[in-house]
Amino acid sequence: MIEKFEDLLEQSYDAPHGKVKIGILEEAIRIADVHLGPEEQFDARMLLVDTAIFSGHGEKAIVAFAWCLAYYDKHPEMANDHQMMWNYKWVADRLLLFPDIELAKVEATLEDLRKRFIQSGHGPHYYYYLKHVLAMNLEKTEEVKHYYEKWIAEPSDSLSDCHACTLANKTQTLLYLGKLEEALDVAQPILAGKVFCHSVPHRTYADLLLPLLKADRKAEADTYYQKCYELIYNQTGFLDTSIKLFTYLAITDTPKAVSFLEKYFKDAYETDESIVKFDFYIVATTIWDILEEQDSKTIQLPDSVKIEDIKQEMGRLATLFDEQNQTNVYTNKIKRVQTEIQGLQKIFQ
Amino acid sequence: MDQFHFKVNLKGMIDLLSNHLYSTPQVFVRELIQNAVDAITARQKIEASHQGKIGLELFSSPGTLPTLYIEDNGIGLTEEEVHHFLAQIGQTSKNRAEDQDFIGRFGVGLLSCFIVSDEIVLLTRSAKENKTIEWRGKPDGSYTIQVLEQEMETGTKIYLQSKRGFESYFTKEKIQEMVRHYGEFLPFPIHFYDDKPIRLNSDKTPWEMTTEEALSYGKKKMQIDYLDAIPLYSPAGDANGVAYILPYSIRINAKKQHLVYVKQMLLSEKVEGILPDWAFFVTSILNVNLLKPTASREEFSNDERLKLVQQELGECIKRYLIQLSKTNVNQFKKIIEIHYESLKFLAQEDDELYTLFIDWLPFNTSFGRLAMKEIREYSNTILYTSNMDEFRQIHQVAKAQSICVVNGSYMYDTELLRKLPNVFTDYKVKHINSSSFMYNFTELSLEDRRKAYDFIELANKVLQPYQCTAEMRNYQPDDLPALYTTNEEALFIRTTEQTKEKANDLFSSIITQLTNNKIKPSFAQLCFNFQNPTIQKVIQSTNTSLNELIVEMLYVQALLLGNYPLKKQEFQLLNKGLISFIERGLGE
Repeated sequence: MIEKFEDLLEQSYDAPHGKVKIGILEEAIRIADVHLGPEEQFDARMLLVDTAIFSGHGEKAIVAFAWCLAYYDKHPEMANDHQMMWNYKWVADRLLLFPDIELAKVEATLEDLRKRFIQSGHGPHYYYYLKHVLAMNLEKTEEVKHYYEKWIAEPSDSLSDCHACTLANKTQTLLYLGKLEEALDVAQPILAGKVFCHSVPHRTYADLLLPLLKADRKAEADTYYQKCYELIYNQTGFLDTSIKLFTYLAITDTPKAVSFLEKYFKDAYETDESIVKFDFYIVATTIWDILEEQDSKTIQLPDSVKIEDIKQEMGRLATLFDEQNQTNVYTNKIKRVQTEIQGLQKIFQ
Repeated sequence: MDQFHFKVNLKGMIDLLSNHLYSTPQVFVRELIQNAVDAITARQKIEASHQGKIGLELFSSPGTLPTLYIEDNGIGLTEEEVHHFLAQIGQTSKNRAEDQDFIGRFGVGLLSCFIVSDEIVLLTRSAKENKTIEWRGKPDGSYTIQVLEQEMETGTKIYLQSKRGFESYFTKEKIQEMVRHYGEFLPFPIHFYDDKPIRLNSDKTPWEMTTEEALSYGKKKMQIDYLDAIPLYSPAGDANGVAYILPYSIRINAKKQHLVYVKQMLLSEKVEGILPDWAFFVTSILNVNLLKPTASREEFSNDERLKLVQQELGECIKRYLIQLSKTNVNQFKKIIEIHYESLKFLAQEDDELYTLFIDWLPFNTSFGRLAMKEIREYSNTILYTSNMDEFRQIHQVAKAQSICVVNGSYMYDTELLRKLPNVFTDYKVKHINSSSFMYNFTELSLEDRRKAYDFIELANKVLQPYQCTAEMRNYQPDDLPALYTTNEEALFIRTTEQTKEKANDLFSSIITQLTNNKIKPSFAQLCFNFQNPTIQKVIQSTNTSLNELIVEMLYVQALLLGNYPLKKQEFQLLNKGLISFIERGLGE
């Protein structure tokens, strides 16, 4: 069985991120669980954490990591601290995609992460980053500013994001705070192609689209849309980025938005990353309502999915998210995004 | 505003170069030859019939450090040029408009010599003036220039005395080896003057050879019996070369390194990114004239032209394979046998290749590894599963029923299968999972349903806590009493249950919320086989407590058969069941 296990791991090294790779690793985990020892169980799960994170399956990363963390706490010699904390960092980051988990639990996780970072000789740089992202998600602007300042004042360390990601993250926050010019200054090395990584410039292009439109700079936005789409086309793990493109199309080009909807709907429908699903549904239903009935009828959705079900699920998620986070930002978000798209659409189409 | 220039510390630069920019000190040989080639090319611009040549010699005597001598009959440098180009290290002697015709950058090139030498002496006479110039430079940046009285033929001579510690680069054997290494295919004769002149470069390049010659060259050079040699040509890069098909399979992520020459001078043996990513089954020898190497000279600037060259070279490989699939099927099959992963990727991207390749490509099926041609013989409807777990659940049953199911969970397989009806229009491709497969099991007759009813009701009750429902069908093989099947969602839930038992409280509660908030809970199924003799006996039994025990044991057995890790409560079932049966056995 060890040969079979090793063969699967070998295959997984070759496979690009995505379902196939996840399937291979899950099979390896089952074999390890049934026939092999904790070392193999641990290793295969650590690989799955990494793969699931970059394949848009945060839920699988969280579950696999939970196993590893518990094992590591009992057998700290199993992995080096840094490797463990590195994966924890990603898992915590993905946890923010699940507002269906109670806020108190997410916050407890971030505190646990902070404690462990410091215990293992790392700084709280990334912790502050996560805190400010969480605040952004919940639209607590004062808290965003507070943790943003802390984040950029804290020296970065080996658990921080790469340079490209750090710039992209700063850009995103500045855009959230409505500071377009400052954001463009920060993003300059990204836009000039001087720094890049796995997800940059992709997400920076996408983040800039709506702010540029609102500043009446459509020509720039068009260029970035095009560049971004080329980068993420047929790539796994960019569904969240694609929603921003989708929104942009909903505003600027309805026919393209409709075929975009058809292309990506299945991914959104199947994803377990609930905020991604929710955000996609908001744009999808907005487009649906913009169309004349005779046109919306032509949209091809997979299986027997009906738009009413989608709307209902969107509402269920909004209520659930609000409940779990003691807020109303999610319910309000539906209306806000709809109004925004409809308003801008009148200007740009 | 005043403008100032800051001074660059030359010694620091040299350290930097030797430690970072050049991967090995021996590049000084490349730079020297490069300068000589450039000078000859420049001279041929003004004197078309000029026969260029390059010579090297090594002077050594006991007690002194050896000196390398290199001469060329190129264009030489005028006094002004010497000042201009050598004073400003790094400035090239070639003006921009002519950039395309020259390769090296004289100044930087010479600079690399300071890695191995503390003094460079250069004698030169330009084709443009009648002066013999002597330049002596030191690594601290100081240099002297004087005009010599002596006559000299047009060209350049350089003397390079070894630095202490670098003597190993200054032996006859090493010099010859390094020159051959870099300059094997240079268009001008290069000689090493020993007792008699030794020609160091060859007269035919791999890209001028026939396939047979190229293959035997490849074997001699790399000690590898390549499967085939594909000629390469790219107009965009003015590139020629040979792609050798590797005789063993190679990992997609393995580094794909190629032996690349720029204007026939070796750039590096480890160039990446010159062929498309999918071409990982070949290694190539290439000469490129129109691409810009980066400062380290070991790869190319990643620009539009590089993309075009990649594409054109890739096209050569594709065309060759297409040709081969029509004219030499045996050779083609041999290549597929080894490199099917690469070819699958290609076929999936390109419809023309798909049509040609698909029948030969191998897939994993319930009957083992089969080529698509063989798979097509089983049925006009090709069944496939898209993940390993599904395949594992049903492949045995499928085989017992003589049904060919393809395991589509490997890279590109699902995409390839889905395209099949485009080529074979009378074929259908159907995705199945364990439940849809089970629906094809024969339903029980009404009479049999009545017989099995009590048992199924009992089984459902027993299995409820394990998120599993019970069914009864007829299926092959007879000796399989029960089959555990599940779907992705149910399997994920199962994994979370299993993890919760291990995870810490915080994560355990997070996982609970992750799964609780999903809309519909998913159940696995345990499908009993009505045809199985044991099941036949069980349904006739009226002993409820025994039957419960049997259901539990069949459930655990089916899990084990399917390679599912047992949860804690399932382990307890197994223990309880075994003990009970043992006790029953002893009690009788």
